[in-house]
Amino acid sequence: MERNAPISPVTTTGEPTTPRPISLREWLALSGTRDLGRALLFASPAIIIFSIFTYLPFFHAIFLSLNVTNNQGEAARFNGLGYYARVLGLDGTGRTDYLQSILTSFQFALLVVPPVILVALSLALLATAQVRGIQVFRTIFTSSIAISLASAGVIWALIYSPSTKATTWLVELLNLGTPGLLSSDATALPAVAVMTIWSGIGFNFIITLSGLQAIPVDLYESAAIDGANRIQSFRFITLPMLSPTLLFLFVINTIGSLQAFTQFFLLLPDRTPTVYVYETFLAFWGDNRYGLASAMSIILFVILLILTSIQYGVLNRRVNYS
Amino acid sequence: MSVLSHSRRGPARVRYNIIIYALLILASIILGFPLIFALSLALQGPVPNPSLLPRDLTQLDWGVFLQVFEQQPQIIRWIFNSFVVASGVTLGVLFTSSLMAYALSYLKFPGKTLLLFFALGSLMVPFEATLIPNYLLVARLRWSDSFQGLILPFVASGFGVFLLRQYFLTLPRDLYDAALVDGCTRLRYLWSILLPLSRPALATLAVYTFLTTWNQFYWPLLVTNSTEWRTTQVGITVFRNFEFAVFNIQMAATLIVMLPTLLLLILGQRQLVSGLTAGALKG
Amino acid sequence: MRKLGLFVSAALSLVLVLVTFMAVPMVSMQNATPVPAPTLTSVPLVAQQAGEVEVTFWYGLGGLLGNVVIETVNMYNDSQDVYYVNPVFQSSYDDTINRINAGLASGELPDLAQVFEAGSQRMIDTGRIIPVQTFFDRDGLQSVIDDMEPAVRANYTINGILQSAPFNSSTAMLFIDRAAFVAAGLNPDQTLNTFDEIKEYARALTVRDASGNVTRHGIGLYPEGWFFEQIHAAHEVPMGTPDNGITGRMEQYTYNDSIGVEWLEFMKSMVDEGTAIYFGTGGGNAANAAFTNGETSMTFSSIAGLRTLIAGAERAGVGVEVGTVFMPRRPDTAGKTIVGGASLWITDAGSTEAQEGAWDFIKWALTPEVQAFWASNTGYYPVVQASYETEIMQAALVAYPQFQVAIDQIRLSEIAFANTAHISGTFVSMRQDVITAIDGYLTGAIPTAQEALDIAVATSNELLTEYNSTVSN
Repeated sequence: MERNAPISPVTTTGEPTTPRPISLREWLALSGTRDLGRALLFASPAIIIFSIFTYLPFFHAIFLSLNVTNNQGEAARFNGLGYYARVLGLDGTGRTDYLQSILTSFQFALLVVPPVILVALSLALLATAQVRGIQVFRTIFTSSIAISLASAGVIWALIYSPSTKATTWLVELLNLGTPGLLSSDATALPAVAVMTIWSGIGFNFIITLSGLQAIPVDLYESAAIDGANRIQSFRFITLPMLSPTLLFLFVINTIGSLQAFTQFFLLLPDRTPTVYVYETFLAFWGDNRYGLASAMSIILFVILLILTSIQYGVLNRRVNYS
Repeated sequence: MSVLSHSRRGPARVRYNIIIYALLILASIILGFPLIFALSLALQGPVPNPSLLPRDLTQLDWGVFLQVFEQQPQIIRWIFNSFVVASGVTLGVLFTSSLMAYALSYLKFPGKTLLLFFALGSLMVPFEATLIPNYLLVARLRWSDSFQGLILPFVASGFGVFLLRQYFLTLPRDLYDAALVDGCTRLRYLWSILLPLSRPALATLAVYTFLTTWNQFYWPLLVTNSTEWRTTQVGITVFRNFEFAVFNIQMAATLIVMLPTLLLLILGQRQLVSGLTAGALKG
Repeated sequence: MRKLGLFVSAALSLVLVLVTFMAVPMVSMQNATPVPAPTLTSVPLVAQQAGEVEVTFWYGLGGLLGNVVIETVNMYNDSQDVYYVNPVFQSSYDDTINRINAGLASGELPDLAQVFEAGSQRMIDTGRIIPVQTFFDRDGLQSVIDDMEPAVRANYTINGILQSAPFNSSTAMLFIDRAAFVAAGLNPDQTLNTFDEIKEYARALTVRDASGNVTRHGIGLYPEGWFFEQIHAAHEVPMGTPDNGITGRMEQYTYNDSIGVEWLEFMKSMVDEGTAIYFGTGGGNAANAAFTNGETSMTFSSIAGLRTLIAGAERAGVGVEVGTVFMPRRPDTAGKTIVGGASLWITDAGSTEAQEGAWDFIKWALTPEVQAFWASNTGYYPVVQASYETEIMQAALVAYPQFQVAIDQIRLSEIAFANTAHISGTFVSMRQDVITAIDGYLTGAIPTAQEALDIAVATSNELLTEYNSTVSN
């Protein structure tokens, strides 16, 4: 038979024919496995790294979480779900300290996420003004992205320290009775939140500004022609068009603030209750309880997974993709 | 397009400009306050009671930046360490991500979706969940206080694979098919044609990876031990424990350590912005 | 804008390069021979000579004290050419223990390690240490052990054997501003004071302005586990059973006792009265700074910080005269306090030569002259009594009489299990639990001291039981 004879059992006129036997090469080409070897080769560096440093440790963490470990991080005694029960307050002793830290983490997220998005939005709106030299200001607003959390933490620790007197006026104003904002239960978390907001403005600003700039000009023009004022065009054009961006920022910022560690290490080191990730660090680095810390990190993984799904699922409906 | 702009002429325009500039400057001062504070404290000399702004502007202690090196000569090494680690991770990520993204976007093979999920799945696993076993692994391999311990765990990036794959998919496929017909090998296509065409995405990934690796704190904290192996971020925090009432050197060190990334931002701002927004706007 | 960006970045790079190049000659102009006065300027290490056996030495003291460690090591390396001690800074005592734990798995252990007293049980549990008693016995140097400060020797004698060699020993003191005491009509030389007396002093020392706001607090406070242990020792009350963990592994903490409660209530009453300012967790540095700035007139601290505090007071220049008195206590209680600081442990990680080198360094470090050098440059007191006969030490005691108070405090009573530092595998975590309890009570989050300590002791015991179950005795 000719090589180019149709392989399919049906001819172009719709009459069935007997399919001819195909060569291995043709079969490979058809089923798309022609490049399988190459694909695996190309992807192998990434696959190896992901396996060794992401997936393997993840499963090892699950394993560790079911055991009590010794000094060296090896499993010494099987513990079943004991650590999970302890963290989630289900072990019957009525102790909810770890649950409390989860709550604190959410409180922290609540203190950080809405303000940072609001501030970034306001700055981005301001930065769309058509005045000379606006680019310089945009760079200034972006600059916090280049300042690491560690550097920011060291600076803000001093801003809040009673030794530098930079915030004593606020302490007196609020009548706190403690030497600094970080020593008072009422203001410690908000103080760290303010520092986190400052640190996050750069990133949120960039994204929001680009989102604003992507909104087609004609929408505003036609609105103006229809007599809409600035507030109306903001409400009915800007916000809806910006909603995918805002959703993205909302999710990213929430996940980020739930994982906050560096600023707590630097600003509120010995403090309990503290946020969940810092408690995990204390369990692991301070108490050498690798099993407990692993259980805590697996629980965090589940929390983040659920949260992301909810945020995208629920809020996605309110987002306007046009 | 600005929500704020409506066409104006004459005095209305001047008033608009004044208000805008006032707001811009106010915002800049508020945002820049911590840096101004750090600089002010650095320049006031070893006084136990520094004030918010230097009392005497003629007596600024610019020598403090040199004293930083005297007290901690290792700071040079820290900058070097951070630079090596950030560059190493950046090159590694570019390498692994472009290869994998290439496979995912151009090659035909079964299980492509599985491989894609494998790469993106790494984004779902938070850093904390792999931290402890990774730390134990690195300790066992004697990789603490080493470049490989700081670099290797981060050399593959789900974000990088995602970004590059998206970009590769936007490029015309016919170029590839034609090249293959002409006898070009797949690797050569990647190296000679695809990557040069993808320069914007690669630049974005590079700037982003360099910046985030430079700023890493938690992992270097665990994995570095002796002073000379610290990276800049961990180094400045260890710095601060030794003087309880005098802050100028600590602040000066923090400012020095900030310079490279600020430089990078100024140079790479466009790349960074376009790349970050590419991910965000597509939702 | 691009041009501006390029210009700015070029300028910044130029600055960075200039600073780097100017720093290099500054650093290399440093004196090769170490100068005894402790400063924060980093001290370069003496180089290793060919043929010298390397002894890796992990230590956890930083800053001023860390520089004296380096100077001490430099002196040793200069004094002989058989061994070379290579000091590797571990950023803190806590980190040293963590590194050693990590090193157990990887096999990366130092030959010699400086470990704080809280880490003793952990070190024994590694199974990799060689008790220094072995070396003392082999070389017939029991006399050195006998000459050690009794309290110090007792601290590191576990299961009847001297496990590690004391190196830097401290104790807790109440630091006072002598000038303020005199001005308020108080006697700064009365070293033994009761809780009530300290409260009286705090009232007398608190200064208020016209509108009733406090401008100077009598005392500054912060939560610290170590002081809590000191108070127990001074009252001869153990922290746990059996025998503070010294004769056998500690099974249970019992520190939610009456003296613990009294200590917490003592602090709270002063905070409530407004005579004390509470600096919160991690507030040690702030409390010390406030003391040297004259914002408080009393503060608890370690005698190891004596020189740092004196230097700070000088720099602040507001006339604070640093003095020391004993930790306060109940009436008619003259118990000694416990020894803090750290000791030197020899591990079996290295070759026999390296172990010998570690032992050689220890022998050298315990000579009266070296201990005198160490003590006179820091605030630690010498661990061997023969040091007091050296000129350096006698001069130091004359220049810094505050020192003598510390030495007197650790000699106040006979050695007993209850007034020696306890030994436990979860010591470090226990201190954190105590800090949490103190902070909770002093901020008002927990209503009573007893409740705070009950919670803390339950947490400590949970961890202790878990730890004990993972180690084979």
